[in-house]
Amino acid sequence: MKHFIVRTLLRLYPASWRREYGVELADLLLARTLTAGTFANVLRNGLWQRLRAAEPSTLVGFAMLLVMLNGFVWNIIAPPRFGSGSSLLLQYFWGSNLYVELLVGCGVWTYLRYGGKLSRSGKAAMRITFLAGVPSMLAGVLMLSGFLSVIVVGRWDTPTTFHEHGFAYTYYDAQVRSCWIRVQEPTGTLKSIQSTACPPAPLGILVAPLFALPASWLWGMVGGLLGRWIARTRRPVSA
Amino acid sequence: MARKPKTGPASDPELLILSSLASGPKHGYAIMSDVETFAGVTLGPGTLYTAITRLVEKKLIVPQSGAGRQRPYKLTAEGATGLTEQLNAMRRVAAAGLRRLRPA
Repeated sequence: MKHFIVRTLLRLYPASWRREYGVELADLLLARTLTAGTFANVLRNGLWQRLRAAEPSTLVGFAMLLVMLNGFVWNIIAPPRFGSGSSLLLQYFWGSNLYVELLVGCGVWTYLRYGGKLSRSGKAAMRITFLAGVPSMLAGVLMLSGFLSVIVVGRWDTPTTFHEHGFAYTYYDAQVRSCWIRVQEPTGTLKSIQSTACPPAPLGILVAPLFALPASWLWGMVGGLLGRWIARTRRPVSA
Repeated sequence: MARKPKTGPASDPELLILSSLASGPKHGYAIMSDVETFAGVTLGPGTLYTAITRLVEKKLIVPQSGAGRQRPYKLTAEGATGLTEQLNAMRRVAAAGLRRLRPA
């Protein structure tokens, strides 16, 4: 059992690190009593080594994922009308120059660090977009499976607050907007009616981040080209 | 993330490992026991190897080919110089602090 736990703990470390120090750390752990403190210590340091070994695009991608997740959470618990900076950040970040600069910057960084083919820079930028899109895709899956219901709140929706049982409740009056939906009548025929319940299509939310991948690849390639130019200008001129 | 077990420069895992290796090459387990004996600090196995990784990368220590699975680590000349400088700086700070604490 102890061998299994030690082997599992070592899996937290990157393969290159394990090749160098894995045997030694395993022997050290097997020679000691595995306490919760030791377990936590190895876990924390393993994750740290993985973070150190990760590619820049993976780190940036995970940071973006956290930004997006933070935006989603704030959109749910404090919609933009209440001045949530994070939800506004989520809305503006995707369409901002900063996002494009981030992809190009990662392309430059990847080329300067690893060299080789330009496509590596493109793939790095795609990785960022994919990771940043994970919360959105997860929301799509939850909507498709019926676990999540999304109501879109726009600037025309007015919040109303009322007090009941010692709590303050806020709801949004979304009656201004409407859309056509198809409903089945008792006779079995389908009929189009105007409804105020207009949630975004779950499948659309699920695949939307994937449509951003080709553009990200191109921006990454632009970064790669820039990186190649920088690398050439830095190279000393031979006699 | 080699978290320091206690606060203060004397509990820095890298400094403790370098001090332990000053008396000769040792493998991981021996370093751990030695640090516990001379400094009273218990380094976690993860903390120990994170610090060893960093010291090897900085070329302050170097692994030697051992007979068993545990490789002994040896202080390099650069490591010895760095350790001497750090300890001297600590000694200067400690001396000044103690002198000022002494009643006039």
